[in-house]
Amino acid sequence: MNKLKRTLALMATLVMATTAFVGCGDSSSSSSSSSSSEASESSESSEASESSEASESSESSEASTGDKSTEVGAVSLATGGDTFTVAAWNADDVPYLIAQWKGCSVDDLTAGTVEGVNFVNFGVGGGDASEKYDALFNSGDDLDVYFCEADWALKYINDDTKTAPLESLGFTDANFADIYSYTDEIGKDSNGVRKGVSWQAAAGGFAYRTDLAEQYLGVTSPEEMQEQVSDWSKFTTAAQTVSEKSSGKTALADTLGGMWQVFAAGRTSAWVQDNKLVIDDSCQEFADVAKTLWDCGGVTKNTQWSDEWYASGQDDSTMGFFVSTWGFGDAILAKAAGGEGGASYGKWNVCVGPNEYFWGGTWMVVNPATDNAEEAQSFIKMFTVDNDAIKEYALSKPEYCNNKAVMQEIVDEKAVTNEYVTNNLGGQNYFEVLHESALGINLNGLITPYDATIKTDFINAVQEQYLEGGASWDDTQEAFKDKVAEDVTTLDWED
Amino acid sequence: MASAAQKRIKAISYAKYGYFFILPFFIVYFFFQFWPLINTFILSFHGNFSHEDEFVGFENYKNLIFGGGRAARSTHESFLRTLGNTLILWLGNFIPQIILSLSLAVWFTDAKLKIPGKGFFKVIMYMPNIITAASVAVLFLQLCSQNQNGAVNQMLDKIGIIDFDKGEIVNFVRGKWESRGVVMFVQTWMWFGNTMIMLMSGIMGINPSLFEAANIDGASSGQVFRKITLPLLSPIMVYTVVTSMIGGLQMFDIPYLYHRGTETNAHIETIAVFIYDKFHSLQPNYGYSGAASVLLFIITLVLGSVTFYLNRDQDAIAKKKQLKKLAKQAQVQNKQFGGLGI
Repeated sequence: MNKLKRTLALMATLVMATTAFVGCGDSSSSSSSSSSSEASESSESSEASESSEASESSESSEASTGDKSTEVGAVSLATGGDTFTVAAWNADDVPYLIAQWKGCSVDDLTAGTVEGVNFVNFGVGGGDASEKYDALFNSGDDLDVYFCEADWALKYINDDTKTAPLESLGFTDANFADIYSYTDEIGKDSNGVRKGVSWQAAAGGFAYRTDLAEQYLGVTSPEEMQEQVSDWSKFTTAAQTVSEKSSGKTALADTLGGMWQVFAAGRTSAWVQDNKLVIDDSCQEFADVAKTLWDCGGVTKNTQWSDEWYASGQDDSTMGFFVSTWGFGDAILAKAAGGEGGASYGKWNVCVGPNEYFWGGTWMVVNPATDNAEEAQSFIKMFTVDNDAIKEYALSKPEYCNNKAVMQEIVDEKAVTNEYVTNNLGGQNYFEVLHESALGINLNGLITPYDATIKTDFINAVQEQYLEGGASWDDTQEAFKDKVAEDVTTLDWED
Repeated sequence: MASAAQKRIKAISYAKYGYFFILPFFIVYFFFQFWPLINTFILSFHGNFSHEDEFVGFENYKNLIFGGGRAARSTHESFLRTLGNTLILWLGNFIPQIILSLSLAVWFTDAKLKIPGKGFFKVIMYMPNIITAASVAVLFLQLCSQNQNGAVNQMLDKIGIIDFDKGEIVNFVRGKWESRGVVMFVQTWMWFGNTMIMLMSGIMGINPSLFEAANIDGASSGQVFRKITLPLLSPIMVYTVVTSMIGGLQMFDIPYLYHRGTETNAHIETIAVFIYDKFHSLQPNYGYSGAASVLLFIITLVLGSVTFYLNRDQDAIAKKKQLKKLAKQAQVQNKQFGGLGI
């Protein structure tokens, strides 16, 4: 009996002690043990996938024309690793990308039964991913390709120990001749070295309710609507008209945050120059537009991502939403319309809006310590260089891909990629609008690593001080500077 | 000489197994609690953001407490603001909470009042405490929505305090005192049951014969409460005040979660939220986080000691003093006696 008790207690202790260290184990250890048992199988499958890639790439190189090249050079990073590890903070995109690359199904991939590939999914919001990456780098676990969000991509892109130049994977400028220029600007470090590349473009437009637009502004087509809102002074006038005619019930813009997203993309100077914060005239211009709209009911007082925000798409309190490529489904617009059969489903159209902008997006970067440079090369090449593969992905995911030629083709073909979204837009060929918007974005030299923080601080200062608090512009500016000084402690200040 | 039997007993002593059993806890504690704790102190002496590896001495503390240039000043102001918020929110939930729990505890333990369904009420009142803070925050965000769909706003409209048609709406989420009020209410609602159970156990620990004697002598219930219950409850009261104060100074979940959108509400930002925001950002300031944590620890330590000091047993101290005095007198007398040189 005593022995039994002792053994039980000992077992309980051991179990407790081991569970405490569960978090310390690295996930690759389990995959490596299974890979040894099925080594023969994996080698077969990798051979198969390589050969299929080879044939694909040869096809596409025949098809390509002009100055764009799909020929990539030799890799100069380490090769020959067992497992190709890709990390991202959610499973929205990566499994689909890998599935197409590997020629396997998404289910197999998420179940972890695909040999030679390990997908590390943090399962957090994009804003929290940077912490997870830091932890991953500290742990020294295998990592080959990982994904960065525009907000903090520069943190890694400017760090040579965390990202390798794409040149070292054999990519040249000619390979990326077709990508939208703004995505290229974000992918380059402070010395202009290209280190990250995106397979998606997140250009946005202004989605509006067609029935309300006809009622209040008398417009019947996206072109006429665009006429009415083509710059911020026209946008303000239109908002005032809508608000007047609806006796304050309907606002033209969804949220202040949405407006700022758009306006900020049209700025012409960088936020930080010579390590000092720059507040240019456009800041006050925005604050004044915001104040006019705020006071006349031209913008709702909802906050983004709240229930009221989504509800405002159905109760006629909002006429327009600023939506980016990824937001046309249930992320924003379709949900705001109430989904299929919702109160305003099918009553939407898109136009470019007051200025071209992008919202979000993900960049692929390569760990300099990668041991699978060849796989990394073929993976990145498939989704950023290889037009046929890009088109296949754009239509199957569906995704607004980062390739002018492919997107032009899709726009011209009027291919319907997603019926749920297209029906909500009354059958409008919305990629056409997004294509126009994406081409118009110019971020040359405007990107700093602090943009996300500074933009958030600015909009909060404007809302809290200028709009709700009734403070003067000078006081608002001071509050904004204080907040930035607190958040980005390394900037220099004159006072 | 120990007999063979005694030797055998010693050999099968299980005492050492006790250490094996508690060993896992200490190993885990050392790596996941104790080391981070020490590291907080180390980090507080290092720089922020890109200067993370530089040793800066007491600069973070200096900036937090006294301010300086723009960056230091704004951090200093935020620190003071969040500290103030913390105190306001703690007082605003502790005072109603202690009044509510104390009266309920006295009523529930009073032998004369025969309250039916005591057990039921105790369970019901404890319930809010077992709901996770995240759910509570979501629940109250829904109830207090600052639009015409919000349940509380609708109710206020129905009973005529505000008028939706005139565009009147109470800003329960973003408003300064409105949001603070909601947080205070939530904290009170979540914790009064817990405090009540604790106080009840304290009251039940008082010798019932004291209450009986007071009743026989004709003491009113107010007198019983003031002269018997409160003084004898003071050890438990001190415990309640100290735990509540530590909990209050570290208040994090509800103030952090009670907001719409992505930004926390500055009016209810507590010191714990400040610490979290400082390291959990794209430009992490570990130095300030660490220094603020250490300062919070010192504040807690001081306030805790003050509470203990104020609540020490006055009678025992007086007695001790008297004894000392007597001893001294005796000594002096002895000396005088000795001084006479007999």
